[in-house]
Amino acid sequence: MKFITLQMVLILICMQASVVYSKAEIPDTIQLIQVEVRAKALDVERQFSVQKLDTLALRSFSAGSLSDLMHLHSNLYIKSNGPGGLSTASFRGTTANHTTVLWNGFPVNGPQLGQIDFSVIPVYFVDHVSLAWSGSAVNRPGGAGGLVELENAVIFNTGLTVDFRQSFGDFNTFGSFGSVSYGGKKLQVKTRLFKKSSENNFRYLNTASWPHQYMNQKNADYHNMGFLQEVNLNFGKNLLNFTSWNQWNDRNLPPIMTNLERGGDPKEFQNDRFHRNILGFKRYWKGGKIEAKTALFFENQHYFLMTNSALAPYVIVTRIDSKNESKVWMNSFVTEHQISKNTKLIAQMLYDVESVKTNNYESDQSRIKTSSMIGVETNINPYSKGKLMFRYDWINNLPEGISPAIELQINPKRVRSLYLNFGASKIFRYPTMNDLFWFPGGNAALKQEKGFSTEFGATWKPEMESGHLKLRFSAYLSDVRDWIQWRPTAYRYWVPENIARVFARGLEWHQFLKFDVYPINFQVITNFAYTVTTDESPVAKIEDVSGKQLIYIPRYHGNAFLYMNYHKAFINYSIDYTGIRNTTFADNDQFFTQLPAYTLHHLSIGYQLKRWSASFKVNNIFDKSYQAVIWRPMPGRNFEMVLNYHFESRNDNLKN
Amino acid sequence: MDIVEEPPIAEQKLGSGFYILNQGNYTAGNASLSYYSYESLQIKNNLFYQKNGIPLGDVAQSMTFWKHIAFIVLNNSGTIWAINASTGKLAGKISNLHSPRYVCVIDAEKSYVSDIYTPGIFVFQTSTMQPLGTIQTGKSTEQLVLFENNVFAANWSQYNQTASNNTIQVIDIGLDQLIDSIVVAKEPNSMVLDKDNKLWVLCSGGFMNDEIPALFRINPKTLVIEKRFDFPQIEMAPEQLTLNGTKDTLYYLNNGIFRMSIQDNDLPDTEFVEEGNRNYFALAIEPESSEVIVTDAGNYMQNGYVFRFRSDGIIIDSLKSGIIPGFIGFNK
Repeated sequence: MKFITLQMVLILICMQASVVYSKAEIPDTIQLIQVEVRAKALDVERQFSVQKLDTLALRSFSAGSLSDLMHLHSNLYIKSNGPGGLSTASFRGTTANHTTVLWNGFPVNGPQLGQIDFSVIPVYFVDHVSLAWSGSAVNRPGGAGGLVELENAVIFNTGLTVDFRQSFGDFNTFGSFGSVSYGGKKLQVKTRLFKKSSENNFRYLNTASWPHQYMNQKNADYHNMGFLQEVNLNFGKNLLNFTSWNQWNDRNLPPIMTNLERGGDPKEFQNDRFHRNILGFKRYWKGGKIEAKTALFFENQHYFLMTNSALAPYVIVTRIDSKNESKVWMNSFVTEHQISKNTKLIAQMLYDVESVKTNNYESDQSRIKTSSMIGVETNINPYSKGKLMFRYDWINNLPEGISPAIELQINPKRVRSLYLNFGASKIFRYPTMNDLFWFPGGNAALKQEKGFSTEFGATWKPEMESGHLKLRFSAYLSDVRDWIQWRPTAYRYWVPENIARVFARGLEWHQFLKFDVYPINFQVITNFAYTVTTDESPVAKIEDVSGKQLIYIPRYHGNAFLYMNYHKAFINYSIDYTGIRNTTFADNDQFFTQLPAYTLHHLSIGYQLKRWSASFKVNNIFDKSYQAVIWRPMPGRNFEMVLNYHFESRNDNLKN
Repeated sequence: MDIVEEPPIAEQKLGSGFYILNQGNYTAGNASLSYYSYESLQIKNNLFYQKNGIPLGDVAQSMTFWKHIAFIVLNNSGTIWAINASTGKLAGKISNLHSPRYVCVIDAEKSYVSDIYTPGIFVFQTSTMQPLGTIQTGKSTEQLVLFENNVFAANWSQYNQTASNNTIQVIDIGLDQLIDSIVVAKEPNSMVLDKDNKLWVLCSGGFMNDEIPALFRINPKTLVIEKRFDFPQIEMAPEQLTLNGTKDTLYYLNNGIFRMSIQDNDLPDTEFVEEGNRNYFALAIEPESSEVIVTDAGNYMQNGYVFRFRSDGIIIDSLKSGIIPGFIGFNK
């Protein structure tokens, strides 16, 4: 019980502090007129180590998936198996398992795989998207690479808002999105629904067939639908909220180009259902707040593969019916308080229970994760502030160790438009449940991955008369030991081992510029990432792979976005560059070792007429033939149209 | 040694040497074909892609030579390519197979194909590659050996089937019918026919170490097991049984390379070539020189290696091939 005692002590320190300093002259954070409450676990000022995606970007992808949005508007590398197919994110040279995705403060990475498919997250269900480096990921342990934060905005006093949009695209792609919300003084309710489906039968050049020929993608259709319900109650300085995200995703899984002529009439699909519910309470007082949240997530995944013998008699010869159910109960308790004019204390306690039931383990499995954190944030002087945090974790009540994090932000006196930040932290990641218990191959003796990460960033935000400019440059480095790698064995199945030592380093660039050349408004956003990530373990040296870039992580990745608005019309143009990616550790003389770099161009034009708007989009304008994953075809030039109706009673009242 | 750049003349003959078939990773479509030349003492990787402009496919399993043709079996692509064995140029293909493993050429009119999942053997016309039908076996099949009027089929895998995987089935090539079977040990993974026309079968005992691994000598005429050699430990997984050119010495992998005379009454205690920190994967003996060729699959995710040893076990050289070099084929 030692760890619970320690957690209680940490919490009590903060509570005591709140009593002692409650008379401090600190303005309240609650406003009664239209207030947006960000649902972060820790509402700490992190603007210089966090990249928040622009609202315009979210709006332009409102009928798309988070995969499309992140690929074109962030430094994350999205590895996509094709439209509707599995899309995972790589953050700063790490893998999808190292990128924690938080939804309103709780991780949505399933306990089995530890990763999330970005292709099934509708942008329509998200109001804010932020990217944070691993050291900033202090509100949840385990984001060794970084953190993607998805948030739903809580906005009171908005009146009635109705939104509906319908998208039509090539390959019989249809998307219907709708939301109704009411925001009063005390109550905010919002319901969002979506349904998206596609035949996904795009035409492509199959360079694996003999001879090369154009084909239509087969067995790649998908049907996704879901709803998100939010209820928020405002009792003065108390907020109570309930959020429920429910989704049903069905998709068929296409074979790779080399296997299109395999016999046996393969039927392969994957159905995912999830129900994620969060109940939260937040209380504010002068200079502080307390937040208690509980979440219950259910995930149900069904993978199915069946083949018959290729010739008569057509008996079933392969049948994989993999059923995976997970239940995660998560609890978060956070308090923070301004103990002096310049110093704030933060304390957090997490208690999670993960349970998995699957026919891929020998028995049902569960584990308890407990975590405590205490931190202090202080204004060192008018030009700098710092943050220091210590987290301690337990798995199944066994201690896993302490992980500190430090951040320093400087705003030089002589260059007030320049902000410098430095951060360092110990990082770690637990093995997933599949790493530990998959049969055959799961390795219950796996240790946690551990290492450290550091970042230096410089942000320049000069004052402009008629515009806004933000430039951010950052350099990072992380060194993770005992990196878990699944490796084939002589037993004909793969086994995970704590074998690699991954050394990731790189540079990132982000630029945001907004200006007017009357009567046209311009917005230009560019992102660029240079990533070097290698395995420097002794085993890698023996195997002669030390120094080779890890697979499916490009050294160079960038995108640019230009938006122009003239009265009610707009146009945006985006360019995406993805550099060479290794597909294996084999030498470069092999035809398959590296996928070539590619550049894609997309154009969108639109017009708004009162409550109605319409946009027309051309994806992959130059009909580029490319592969994001080897032998997985991608669509050439394709078109999409979106019609939108948006009504806000508050706006109408103001006009009247 | 350095990798040789492909010469600009596409139709150049490959000369004297041997093929290395690199399995590649499952569902990655990165199988490849390499060729070692005894004339240049160098290896040409990516041969199939360079010659034909397409990838070999997904999980290359085996090669079988017939006249000037080599059949290459792509397990997870359900395809058999036919190439000109002298040049590597494509000559034909059979597709829509399920999970083919090995081709056994009977004559110009008929060839058998084993399948790791389908409980039957696919039959095609060798000279045209046209399908002829299937032979019901009730079990999946692996290696195939032709002797007189019978084909012996090893029942190696028990994946998704209830039938036991400890038998060698006997198929009458005249009737195209299963006529008998011989019970051996679990997972018979490789078979050879020696100079005395005795069938040798190596069984690994099961991938979950279910039984003691064993080597059997079978009289293919009477179908009687004449000898059984049990391995000393259940954890062992011997495989890749092969013969030298004179067919009087057996070789196999059991971590290291072992060899024994077909006249021996015991399994060898010590290896002929140690494995060391290598990961031996495929083994073959050059028929004329009895040179020992073994592949190293490494970590299964990068280029593998091919090692050549003299018949006395002295290493000659090592060369990089493709990912998981899993089969060595001689164009003899």
